[in-house]
Amino acid sequence: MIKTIWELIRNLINKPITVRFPKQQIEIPEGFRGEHKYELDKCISCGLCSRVCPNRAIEMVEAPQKHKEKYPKKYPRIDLGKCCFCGFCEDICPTDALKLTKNVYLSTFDIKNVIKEPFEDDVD
Amino acid sequence: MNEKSPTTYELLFGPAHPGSGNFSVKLRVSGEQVVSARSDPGYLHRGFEKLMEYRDRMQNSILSDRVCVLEALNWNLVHAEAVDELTGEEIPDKARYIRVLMAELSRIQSHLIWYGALSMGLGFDTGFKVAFGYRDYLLDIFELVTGGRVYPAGYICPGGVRRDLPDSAKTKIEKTLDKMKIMLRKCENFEKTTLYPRTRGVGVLERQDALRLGATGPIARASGLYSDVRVDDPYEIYSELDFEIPTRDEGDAYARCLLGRLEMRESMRIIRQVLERMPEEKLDPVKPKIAHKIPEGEVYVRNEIARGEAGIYMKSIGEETPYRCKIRGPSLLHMIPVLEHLLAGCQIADVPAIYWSLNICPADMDR
Repeated sequence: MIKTIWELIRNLINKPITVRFPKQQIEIPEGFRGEHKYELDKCISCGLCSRVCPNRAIEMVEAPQKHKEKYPKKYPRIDLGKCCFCGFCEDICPTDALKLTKNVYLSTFDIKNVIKEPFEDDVD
Repeated sequence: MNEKSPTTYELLFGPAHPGSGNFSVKLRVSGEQVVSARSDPGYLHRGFEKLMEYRDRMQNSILSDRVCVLEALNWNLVHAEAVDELTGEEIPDKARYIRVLMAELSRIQSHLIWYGALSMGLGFDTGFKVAFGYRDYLLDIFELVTGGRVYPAGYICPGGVRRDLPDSAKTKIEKTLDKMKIMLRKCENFEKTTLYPRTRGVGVLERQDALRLGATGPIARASGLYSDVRVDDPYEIYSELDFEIPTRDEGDAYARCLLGRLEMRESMRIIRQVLERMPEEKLDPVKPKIAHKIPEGEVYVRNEIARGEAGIYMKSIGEETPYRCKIRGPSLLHMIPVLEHLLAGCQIADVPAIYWSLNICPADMDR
């Protein structure tokens, strides 16, 4: 009983283990597997990311008509709804064109935000 | 009381009950007493065994996370060992140490969920909050080492591990272990005042019944059976480590709960030894490969995970994907024969106490 009361007093003095989100946030460490960052100019269109993806979330698509001259090959379109954030695409990419960032705030009401097109400006 | 007597009625415990997980038990009840119980599984079937036949070894290590969400790293290790045994690949020393380190951290984390769920089942919310609050410190370590809090994404994979241990990990783990010590002290205080009077003598599993019904892990050890794969059939570096296997003779819900706490203490001892002996050299992380064939053969690997004995039988015919992969989860025998045996004859109010004291996971049973 005395131990329990002692524990109660100790808990009154101690700070809570939670933080006041979103004003306060726990720092996310390096190497976290969050949203993808894709650099189009580094990509060599090898298609390894699409082949290694366990959920088949990456599809190789052709560039839109106006970019076709500069980018004649196929480029990865990532469906974040299917992605399990394993990071295999990042590991296998020979040119580091695809990387996972620390961004975890991916909730959205708009389904278009779920699919990451290789040519961002062409998403209508 | 006859099972078909007109004074009995059926009571459903789950699958939408907040304290049962994705699992249901159909209870035949007479007044306040349970006459018989029938487990009703299958609400979480995802077909991993079939899915694994269509994926290569690295993709399967991602699937092995999902077999049991509560101890993903332990299942990673079982899968990785099965493939390693087929390929005969040499695992670097440091990778072996990291594997055991992560598996033991995962065991503590899983026992904390057990502790929390049991407290919640008994209506003791403080225990639940304390256990889940401290579990978050362990998830912080997983986040730092594997890159994800709950799903390590096949961190322990065939051939080693996917990343080397970060420099800050060692100090962080040591600090967390100190916090865990405080938590264990808190648990000890709860046990005497709340868990002990509520779980003592409830759901007694006799030694011969534990043997007959196929109980493994902490459930068997709480009934006086000394069995642990880490000692009986050592894998990785367990044979080099010094640790004890706690056992109890009572076989009731309290003994199982107490065993959970004692096992956390032993796991902390193992982690400290592993950290001390961890080789200094840099480790080459394992990267996924395309068209990587598994040599022909068949293998059965078993490991001691938090819930009991986990096994994977794998057969390969020389292709990239396994020909057959059979998963043996410890919860299957605990949730069907053992649970049905213990629930028959108990009071309705004791059902959550017995249910959660078995440390069950519907995910690894349904697979």
